[in-house]
Amino acid sequence: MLSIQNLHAVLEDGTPILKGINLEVRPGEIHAIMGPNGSGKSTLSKVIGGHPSYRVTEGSVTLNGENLLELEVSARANKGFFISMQYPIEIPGVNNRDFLRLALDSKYTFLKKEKLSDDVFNAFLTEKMNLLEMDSRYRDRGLNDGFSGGEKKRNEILQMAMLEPAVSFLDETDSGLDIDALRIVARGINQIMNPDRAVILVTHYQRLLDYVKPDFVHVLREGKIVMSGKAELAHELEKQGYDWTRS
Amino acid sequence: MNRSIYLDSRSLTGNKYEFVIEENNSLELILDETENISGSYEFFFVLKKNADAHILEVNASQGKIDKKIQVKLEGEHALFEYRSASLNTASAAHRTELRIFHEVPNAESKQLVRHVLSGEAFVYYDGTVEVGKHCSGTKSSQRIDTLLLSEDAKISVKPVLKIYHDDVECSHGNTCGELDPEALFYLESRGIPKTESKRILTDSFIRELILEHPDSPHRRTLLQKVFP
Repeated sequence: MLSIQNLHAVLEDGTPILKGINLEVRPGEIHAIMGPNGSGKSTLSKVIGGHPSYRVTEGSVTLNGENLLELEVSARANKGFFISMQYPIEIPGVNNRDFLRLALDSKYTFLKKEKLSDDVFNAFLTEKMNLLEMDSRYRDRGLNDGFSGGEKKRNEILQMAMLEPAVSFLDETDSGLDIDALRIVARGINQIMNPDRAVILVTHYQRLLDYVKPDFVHVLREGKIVMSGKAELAHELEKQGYDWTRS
Repeated sequence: MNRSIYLDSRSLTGNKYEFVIEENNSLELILDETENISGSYEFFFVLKKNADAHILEVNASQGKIDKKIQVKLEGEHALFEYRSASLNTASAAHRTELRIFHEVPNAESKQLVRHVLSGEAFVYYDGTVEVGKHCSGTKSSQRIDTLLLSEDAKISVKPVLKIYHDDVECSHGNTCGELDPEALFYLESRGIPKTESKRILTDSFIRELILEHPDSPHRRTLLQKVFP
């Protein structure tokens, strides 16, 4: 499904950040990526997503056999790659509902599918907001405008639930969430999972992985995956810390 | 008494308007400059005690416009608010000279100005606030933000504060730049094509300013005209 081969990427000034990432994500799988601050976890999501601050110098990223790196940012998204941002942007003058409508319409246009009617769209939005226990007032607020950290993360998961991407890269979605919000967001993630989709979770803590069970856990350090294992690896990391992965 | 006046481009050019807002009165003035015309016009406002004036202007003309606005805050607790948005392209050339005179204590003035400039558009904005010797408790803010979307678009801003009293709260800020690349990436990462994402960001920049103006039927009319 998502295949990352020997991915190298640098900042605009040439500073290397990713130094040969290899990762295979198959349909139905949940992968957790852990690692110290500055190891390249967020960069990995942005490089796959096409952020202009990074330049790929080597390697490939394919989604269902198609080279994502050759596509525009919006095309990568419409092909099914979604990033839940660590720091979602606030855009005050854009209504949350209108934004979701536009994003969904863009996807349907890209895929040459008929757009949803207003009634169907509104019912779909209501269903997903109920799933995430979001108050209806979030529909008409500006996009992430004045949202708390937890509300922003919940809104990211709402976007993911609406867009139904093939692969979701969730960058520290659990940061800023209280215990109840964490449970609700985790439920949203589990609900959108099905045998045709995959999720990559970046997290620093085991607590999210108690709710969203990963099939694989990887440790990213200095731009490379240095260790991979099953779910138990996350427990071991929490006990022993990242220095343990050096040995 | 509350008055709300809606002036469009045709009723503005070549004219001089004088408004005296009497004690405890309120004025809303909407300046709809969305038509593509050239010309000059002047406004003169006098605000008495407890009077307030709320000006909302949207300019999308591609012509040459020269305007002068003079404001005298003559009564305590008077409030003057000026919100102006410009969406200019091609060879539009706009010049605004705003003078606000605080002549009594405890009055307040606000300027919130946003420009979105592309093509070879040129805007000159001179906003001067003068706070007199006996004007303790004055509040004044001036904020001018500009998005330059082309290499040939130009902005010249001259924020001036002349303050002759210590007990005042006066601020001014001026920013100029391109669209926020993180915001652009965020929208594109949701599948919205780049051109559309840019339009959303410039629209939101202007819409936010319009929505800061107190809600009214005339504000809604203008909003509908700018964003049909």
